[in-house]
Amino acid sequence: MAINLLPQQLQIEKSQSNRKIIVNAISFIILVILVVSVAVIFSYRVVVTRSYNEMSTQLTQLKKQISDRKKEEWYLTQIHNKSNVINTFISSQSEYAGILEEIKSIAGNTNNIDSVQADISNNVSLKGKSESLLVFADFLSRLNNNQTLFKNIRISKLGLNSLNYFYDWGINLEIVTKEIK
Amino acid sequence: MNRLNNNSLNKYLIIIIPTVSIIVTTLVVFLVLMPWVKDVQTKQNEVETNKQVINQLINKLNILNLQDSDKSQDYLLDLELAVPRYPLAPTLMGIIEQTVNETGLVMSSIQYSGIISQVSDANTTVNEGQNIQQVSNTNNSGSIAIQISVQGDYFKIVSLLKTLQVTRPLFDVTELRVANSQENTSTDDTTIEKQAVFKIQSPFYALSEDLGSETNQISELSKEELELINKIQIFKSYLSANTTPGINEFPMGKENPF
Repeated sequence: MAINLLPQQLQIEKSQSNRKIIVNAISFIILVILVVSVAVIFSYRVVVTRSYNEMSTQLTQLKKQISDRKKEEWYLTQIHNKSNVINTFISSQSEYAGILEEIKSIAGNTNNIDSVQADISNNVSLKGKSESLLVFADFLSRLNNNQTLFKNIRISKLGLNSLNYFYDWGINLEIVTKEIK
Repeated sequence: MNRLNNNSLNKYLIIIIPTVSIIVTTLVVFLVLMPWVKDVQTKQNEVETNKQVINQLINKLNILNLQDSDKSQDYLLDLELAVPRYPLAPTLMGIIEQTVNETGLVMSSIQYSGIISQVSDANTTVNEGQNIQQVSNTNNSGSIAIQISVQGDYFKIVSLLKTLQVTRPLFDVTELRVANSQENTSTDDTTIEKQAVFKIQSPFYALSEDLGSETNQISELSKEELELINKIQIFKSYLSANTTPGINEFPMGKENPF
């Protein structure tokens, strides 16, 4: 075991002096770290602020340039809006001309169509007369075969008219709607 | 005595330097460093956001620089003739009347049935007699409903339907009823007189003057839109630019929203 021969007072002073050096060193190191941190963060802040200011200026200039081209933007926006409206309208436009022609072509000259009624839900009601049941059956089967235009074909009325000896008939059907693009 | 004083001074010295160091560090961290770090973070975030916005704006500006405003105005005029910005019921009824006459049919009746609004969630028909101007102020889009009754043979009726499909303003026959005018015993039903009732709709769409923020994105005219404009251009038009109010004008002066 080591024996310290220094007087006790000197030992205390030496120990205090050592502690003081350590504490001062730590304090100094903390202050140095603080100064370095301040310097680094300050520099970084300057760089970021410069970049931020440049961007803000660029943004303001771009906004002004766009503001100067408001006329073109307005036209372009309106064209887009109107085109959308027209596209939607045309997509849902009914094609009754084509449907009437198709029904007439299927009916031929042997089936007379007296009335056609179509509503907004694409339900069509046909009334007419045929010379014979065979002729009417042929008309009905041709309607059934045209599945791209018609579906749910149902007979609503069929009977012999004793006044003219024609077969009076009624048909309900649905038009196949075209898909909206 | 001196030695005792030196000792107590030493003790104070030991305490003072770390204390000052701790106080300075605390003050600098809380009053300087933390606000700076927050500021840097905020600015960095804004720089990132601004980068995206700038890219969008450059893209938008490039698109706008490519636009020829005269050409755009012509395109818009073509579209306006197809879908007017106001519900012009008398004009539309006049056009329908003219089309019916040109087809060779006889008009028995023509009736304005109101406006079908597309702004509200359900289709609302505004009753006849209500002020059209008032309606157009509240609804910026919709359709004008008109009912007509015509007489003529089958081919003329089909021809009218075909013409209405390729006419500007656009028309859509939503309901139709075609029936023989008199009892038919002939085998050829195309030559006999028929009575037809059509419910027709024609759309209108008001132009918005508010473009919103500069950062709102915009796209060039697509191929489909140009095709649509070309398709519309060959439609028969009864309106001229002069009869479509405000079509040639970009909002200027006091009315300029920008």
